[in-house]
Amino acid sequence: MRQDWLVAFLCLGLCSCGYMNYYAASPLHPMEPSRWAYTDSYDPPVVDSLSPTLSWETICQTRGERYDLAIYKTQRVDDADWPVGKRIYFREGIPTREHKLDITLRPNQAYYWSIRVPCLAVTGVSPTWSRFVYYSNWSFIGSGCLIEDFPFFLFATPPQ
Amino acid sequence: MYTKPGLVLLSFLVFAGCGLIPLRPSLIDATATKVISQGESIVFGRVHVVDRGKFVDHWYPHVTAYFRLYLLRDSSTQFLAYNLSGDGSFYWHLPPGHYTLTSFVWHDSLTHLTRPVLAVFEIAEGDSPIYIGTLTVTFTESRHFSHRLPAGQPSLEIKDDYGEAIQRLRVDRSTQGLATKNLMHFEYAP
Repeated sequence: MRQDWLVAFLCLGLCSCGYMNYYAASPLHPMEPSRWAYTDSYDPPVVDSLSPTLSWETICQTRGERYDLAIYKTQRVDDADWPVGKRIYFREGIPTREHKLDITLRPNQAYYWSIRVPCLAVTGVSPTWSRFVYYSNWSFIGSGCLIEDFPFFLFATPPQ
Repeated sequence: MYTKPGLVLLSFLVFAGCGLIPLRPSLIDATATKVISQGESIVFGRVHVVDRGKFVDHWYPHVTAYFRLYLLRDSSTQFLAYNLSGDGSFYWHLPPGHYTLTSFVWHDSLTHLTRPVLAVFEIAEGDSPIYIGTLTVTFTESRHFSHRLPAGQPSLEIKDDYGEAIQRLRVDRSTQGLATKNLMHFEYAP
């Protein structure tokens, strides 16, 4: 009996971390790599081209189908920080949920990307930039979840 | 009540979350020296963080908690990093150029919050000291579960508190005279 209780207690703790929360939209491409465990800090997915096609699905109620897309440079600093760099790409009024970049990105470079979604709010349309939070590091009942709250989505480019 | 291996496992799980982020000191401390190198200017201002209606004005940066600003100069890709301290006032020694305060990272214990700022300012040759304003970062939304940091998008505002700032500069840096006011401004509409 005591052992059953201990197992249940530990399972509850182990299950409390290890997932991602998306806001406004979630990325379809680049797809997040499947993770068997969320024990490490976040590593961005690698796209297959230096002019990748980005696609997404919205997760808020929207008015219309017009999206803005912004891309910023970034890099990992101090192992844990991903500061936002210069904006290098911006397109307004994209009528579909995917967009092929018409520029060539640098190889081996990390980028933030985000979609501005016309989410419906109580006060009307509230354009919202998509972002995500990464919860990792299995531990005890959430007390040790490592929370990485990013301002936008991330991807990395392949080597040349 | 528990077997010995069970206790060991339990202890491991309880403490597994501590200190797993490998942090090193910030890349460049813009206030590392009080001596201004030739060609550099004192750039000063303040960051006000408002969290659920309260000013956070006691910053004591260390490896497990800091509020770090990231800047880029001109077309450089090398970030300059600065950890807020004290009441959030800063005095940087920077060479002339076009700077972008790109973002901040607020780290506390196991939570790592990154948000964009993208405010720009200019430092012209020979100008010193230069006041670039107070950046007010206001969080009003929800918080991360079991953690102390906010979870939402902050509103950002740049204010002109020149009178107060110049008084602080005189006290903190024993500086006389006036400063050039050249407020930073946001690069893009929100």
